Amino acid sequence: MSGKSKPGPPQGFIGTALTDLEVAWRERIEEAEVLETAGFHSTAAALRLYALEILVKVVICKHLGLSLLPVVCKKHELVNLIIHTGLWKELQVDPPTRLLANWDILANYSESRLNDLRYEPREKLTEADATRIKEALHGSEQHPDDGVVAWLSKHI
Amino acid sequence: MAVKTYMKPTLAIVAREIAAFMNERGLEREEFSLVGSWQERTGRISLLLGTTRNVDWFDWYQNIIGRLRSSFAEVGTPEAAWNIGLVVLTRTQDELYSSFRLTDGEEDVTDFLESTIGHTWDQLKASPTATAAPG
Repeated sequence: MSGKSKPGPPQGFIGTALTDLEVAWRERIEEAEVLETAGFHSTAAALRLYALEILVKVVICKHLGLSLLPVVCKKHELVNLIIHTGLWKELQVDPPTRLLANWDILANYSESRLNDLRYEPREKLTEADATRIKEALHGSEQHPDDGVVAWLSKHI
Repeated sequence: MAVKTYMKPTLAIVAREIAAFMNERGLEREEFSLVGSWQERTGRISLLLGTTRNVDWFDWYQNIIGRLRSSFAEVGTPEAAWNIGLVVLTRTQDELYSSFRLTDGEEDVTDFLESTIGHTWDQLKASPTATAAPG
């Protein structure tokens, strides 16, 4: 027995690597597409919201120049996490933009519905809700450039 | 749980501005409903506005958020205007209420918002200067 245990992450960090997160958020999006095609709109929506949270955490790491997640990222509230990306003020322009409206939609669903989606039958989330989440994330047919993913992706 | 007293002025502004907007757009009172929550730890007010009309949700979002920003700036609390989330949905009141969820630490402020909208609505309808543009 060596008696040596693997060292934990440095003080103030979680042992999750940025390199893993960069793969994970894209994979959650891919998985959501597959589930949506298979008719599982509710789980697809949940995965999209998880992807968004991971992507926001990627932006935080990039903004702060970190290769590990800081402990502030133990939380899941998007409205708090976005402040640590340095992009909050960019959202708050006048007049309010479609991007901000999309962000509000995603923050609302993430905070009020994501936890429950794990336990509810899929029909509790309507297909219209699932579409709203997808369009807020990726942009709609009419407004393809206003999705939150496109905006955040400019900062990674 | 009762709404915290110090939040009432802020929430009253939200409710009055939304009532005034709806009146300007020519809606009937039964054509819209508002539910809301407030999170003390983050200061965030989350609003879900449901309407039975088929509307341009972004036009409503932009106008209402714009109105709220202007109103709060006037009373010297601009920070509140930047911490309000709004989602406009095509929903009946029953659908809106049944889909509304609170998370840990959130306070349901729906009753206060709806009662303030009710009072404001009555005043607007009683006022000869109340305007109603097509929605």
